[in-house]
Amino acid sequence: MARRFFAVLIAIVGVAVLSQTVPALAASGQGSVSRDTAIEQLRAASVTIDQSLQLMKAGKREQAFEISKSGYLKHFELVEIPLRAANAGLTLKAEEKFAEIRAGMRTGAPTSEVRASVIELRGLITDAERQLTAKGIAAPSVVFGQSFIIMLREGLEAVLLLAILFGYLESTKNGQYRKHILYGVGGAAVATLASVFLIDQLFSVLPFGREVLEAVTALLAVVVLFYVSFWLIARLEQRRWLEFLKARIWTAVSAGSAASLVLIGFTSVYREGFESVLFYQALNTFGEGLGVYIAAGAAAGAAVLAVLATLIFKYGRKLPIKVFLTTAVCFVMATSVAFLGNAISALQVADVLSFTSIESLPHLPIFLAQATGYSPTQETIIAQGLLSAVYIAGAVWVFGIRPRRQPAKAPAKPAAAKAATTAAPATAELKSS
Amino acid sequence: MKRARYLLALGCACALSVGLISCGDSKDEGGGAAATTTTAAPESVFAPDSEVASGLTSLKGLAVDISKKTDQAEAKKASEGLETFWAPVEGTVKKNEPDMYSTIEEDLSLLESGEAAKTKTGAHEMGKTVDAYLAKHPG
Repeated sequence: MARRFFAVLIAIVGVAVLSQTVPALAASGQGSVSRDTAIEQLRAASVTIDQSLQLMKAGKREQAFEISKSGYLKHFELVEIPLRAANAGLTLKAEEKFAEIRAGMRTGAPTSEVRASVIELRGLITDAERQLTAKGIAAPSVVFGQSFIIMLREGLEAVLLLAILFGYLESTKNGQYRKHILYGVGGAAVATLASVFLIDQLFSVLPFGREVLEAVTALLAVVVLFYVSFWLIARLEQRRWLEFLKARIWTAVSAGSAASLVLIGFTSVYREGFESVLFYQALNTFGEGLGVYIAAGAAAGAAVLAVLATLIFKYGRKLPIKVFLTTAVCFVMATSVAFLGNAISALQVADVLSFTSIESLPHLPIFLAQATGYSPTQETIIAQGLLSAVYIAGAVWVFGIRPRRQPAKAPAKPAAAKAATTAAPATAELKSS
Repeated sequence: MKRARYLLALGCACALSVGLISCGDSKDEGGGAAATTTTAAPESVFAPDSEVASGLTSLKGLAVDISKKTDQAEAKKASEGLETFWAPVEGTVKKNEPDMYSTIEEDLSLLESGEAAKTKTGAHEMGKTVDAYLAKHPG
């Protein structure tokens, strides 16, 4: 079952990537040269900007000015006509920013001032590349999938947790307290919505540049994704969380405290809600231009979640939830690798991290590059490679080495899992995820 | 059970809203490659030398006016008029003297900043560049 599921998913991803690559190759020979050339010229202009900033920092102002001027006249000028047709305002802004940088270099402006303009220009160049690039199918498919999985996984975890808590109440003959937990769930849903606006507000007042904020969001998302998905941590953490919630329920029920039960319902769901807000914030930041596909993924995820939630409450463990959660964890890990790549790139754009381009590696179309976090620089490739290696090593340990080292323990169910299974059928699924 | 369903529905709706709201604030949906606007690029508009001379002289005059303003906001406001004189002639200047074209654009950016020191430098440099251009291409 799991193998078939994986095979279908891999096939879908494969078809999506091919569908992106084949038309691009075909188009390059069918008169779409001007757009492709414009993108190449944009990248060349971007390289000259980076070089001129390095020269400025090294105190070679005149050389910096010459390279900046040649980058503008030889490369960006070629982009202006197709770009103006797509977005006249953006063209003008970029043109002015180029001029501002050159003027700063020429008239002795401080390096910090020129640097700030270069960072802004990098952002404008990325925007320009988005304007000139067709979205294709692969990038929308990837962000749709990421959005779908985030929504479904986070939602399903909340649903399973509730199923366990309700089961626990039923098994201890305290079913009358269900409604209090549900009030907490309602409150958590509203608080999750409020968090979307609060995070936006918080970001708007923070004294950092756009790129730094994007990087911070993405890094936070990576940490949380790692925490919730990495097998070694996640399994222990889920158990602790469940035991904690059940202990609190027991205390609240014993004391007859309705407020405590509302709070339990709230915390158990809001945790997932806040994680979702953070993930969507990161996904939306780096999926600029693909918002409609992210929204569609969220909608599809919510629809499937609604069906699954109904089935879970009705049929419990008859559903192959374990297979889904295991698969989802792989996608969540891949998403965290993409976020990490984007975070590193954003820090490079903000001139917080240095970058070393790898000329032998190709550039991906910008939407696909953002969706996967791919950037042909040593720093992003190494960071993504390391995180992937940690995930793979964790998987090898959890699924390969550890079961061989502990053969005697394998058939026996942990006591906590047994108790939870008695309390609710979904417990074992959640724990084994 | 009924209440559970309502709250479940509320939860799903909120979860969906989180996704939709988060995605709703994309500044730009991109994909401008498909746009069909056909704005004539100022750089591809060419004017006779007499018009260029007249436009550049007006540009230089306005630059001097801007440099005399002590209030940054006022200077910025006044700099909005620079494009009126520059747009009709920039294509010709660029074709004839790409370096001077580039320099004038830099001076424009100094003037547009509205900062006193920058507008003074911008006006001074622009004056020199315009004079050099007109010496080579008199109207």
